[in-house]
Amino acid sequence: MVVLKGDFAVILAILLLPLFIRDSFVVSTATLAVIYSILSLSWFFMEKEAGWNSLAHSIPFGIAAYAIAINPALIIPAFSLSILLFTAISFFGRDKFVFTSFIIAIVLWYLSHYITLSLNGKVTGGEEGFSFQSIGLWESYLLSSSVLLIFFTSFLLLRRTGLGLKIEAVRDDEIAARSIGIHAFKVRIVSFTISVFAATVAGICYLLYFGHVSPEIFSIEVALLPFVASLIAGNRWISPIIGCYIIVIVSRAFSGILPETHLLIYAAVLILSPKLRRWWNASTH
Amino acid sequence: MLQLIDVSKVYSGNVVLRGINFRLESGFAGIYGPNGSGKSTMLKIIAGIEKPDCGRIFFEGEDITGKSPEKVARMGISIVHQIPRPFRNMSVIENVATSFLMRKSYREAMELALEICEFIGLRNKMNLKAGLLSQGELRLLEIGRALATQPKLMLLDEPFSGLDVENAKRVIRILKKIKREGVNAIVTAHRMKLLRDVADVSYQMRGGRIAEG
Repeated sequence: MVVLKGDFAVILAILLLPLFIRDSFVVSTATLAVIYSILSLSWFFMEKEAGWNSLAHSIPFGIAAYAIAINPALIIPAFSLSILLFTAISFFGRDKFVFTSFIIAIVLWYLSHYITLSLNGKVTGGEEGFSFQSIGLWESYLLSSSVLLIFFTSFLLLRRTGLGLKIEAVRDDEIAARSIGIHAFKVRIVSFTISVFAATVAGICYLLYFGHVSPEIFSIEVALLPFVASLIAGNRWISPIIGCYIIVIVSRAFSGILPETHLLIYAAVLILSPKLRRWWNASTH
Repeated sequence: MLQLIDVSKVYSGNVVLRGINFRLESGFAGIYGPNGSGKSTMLKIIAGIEKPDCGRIFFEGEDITGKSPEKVARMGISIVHQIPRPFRNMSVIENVATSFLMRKSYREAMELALEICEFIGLRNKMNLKAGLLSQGELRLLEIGRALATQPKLMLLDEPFSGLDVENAKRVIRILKKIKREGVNAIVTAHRMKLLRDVADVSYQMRGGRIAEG
C-alpha cells in the first residue's frame, strides 16, 4: 500500500512538473509521453492483470483515432470492433496471442494506407491520413494527464474488487477458476473491454493533440511501444509510464543529432528482453 | 443427490471408464483404486472438466451431463484437484475469497475467507502468496477454496497424495470437520486405509469399473 501511494505521488509530481516549467517544448514532450503512457497502461493491464500478452494495442489506439477523424459517430463501432478482434484472436490461445495479434496489427497497418474517403469530389486519407480539429497544447496536456491519472487510479483500485480477483484468478489458472464458478470467457471479454477502452481513449487523446492521423499510428513502433516501455522500467504499475517518458524524452532530446533514437532503445530492449523480464520478475518477488 | 448412469470415457482408444453406475444419497463416499483406474476421470466428469463419451449424470434430479465446470460449481459441486491448482500470484486469503465471489460481495467474501483460513489452519499465512506455500498447505488451501463455494457436494481427488503423515492427518481432521458441517463428499485415494476415517461407504475402482467394497 505504501509502495502504491509512493507510485501515485511520483506520477502526480511528473504530471505537475510541466505546469511549473511552462515551456511549450516541455509540455508537448510531456503530452506525447502521457498519451503513450495511457496506451502502455492499457497494455500493462492486459498483460499483468489478465495475462494476455499483446503486441497489438496499436489496433484499438489507431482504430479509435481513425474513427473519430472520419466520423465521431463511428467511435462505438470502432471500440466494439477492437474488442471483437481481440476476442477472436484469443481463440488461438494465450501462447499464440502475442504473435497472432502482432500479425493482425501489421496487416491493419498495411490496409490503413488504403483507407480513403471521397467528400465533394475530393479524396482524403491514404498515406496522408485524415485531419481533425486539434484542441491546443495545454488543453491536450490537461486532458490526457487527467485521463492518465483516472486510469492509473482505476487500475489500482480494480485490484481490490471482486472483478479484479476474478480477472487474476482466470489469469493464474483458468480451469481452477471455472471450478469455483467463475465464467472465464465472460471475464476475458471484460478484461479486453477495459484494456481496449483505455487504448481507445489514448487514441482519441492522440488525435485531439495532433489534429491528424495517418497509417503510422498502426506502425510496428507503436505496436511495440507498450512492451518496450514496460520492460525499461520494471514490473510495477508505474513502470510503463516511466518507460514512455524515457523513450519520448530521449527520442526528442537527441532528435537533432540522431533522428529515430527511439529505435535504438527498442533494439536494445528487445535484445535484452529475456534478461530484463527475469530481472524484473525476480525483483518483484 | 448424485447419480451416474452408464458413464463411459475413452482417451485415444484407451477405455478409462466402462459404464460406471454410481449413486450417492448423502454423506461421504470413498473410492479407492490404483493409478489409472479412472477415479480422477470420474470426478472430473462430474465436475464438468471432462465430458463423458456416453452415459448421464444427475445432480439433485437435474441432468448435468456435459455442463461446463462453472455451471456445475454454481449448482453446488466443488472439486479439490489432485494436483493443487492455486492462484499462485494471489494471497491465501484472496484465493479463498475468490470462491465466495459467486454469491457474495468483495467485502463479505474477504470477511468469510478469514473464517475459512482459520478453519483450514492457514490464518497465520493468509497474506502470503499461494505460490510460496508447501505442498501440504496448498492441499489445505485447495480444500478451503472448494469449501468457500459453499458446496452441497465436494469432490476430493486424492487429497492425501504427496503428503507426509502429519499433513495427511491435518487433511483428515479438516475432512471430519467438513463432514460434521453436513457437506456431502466423494473422496478418492490409492488405498482404502486412508479413507477409513472419513468415508461412510467405500467403493473399489479397477480398470474403469466400480464396485462396492
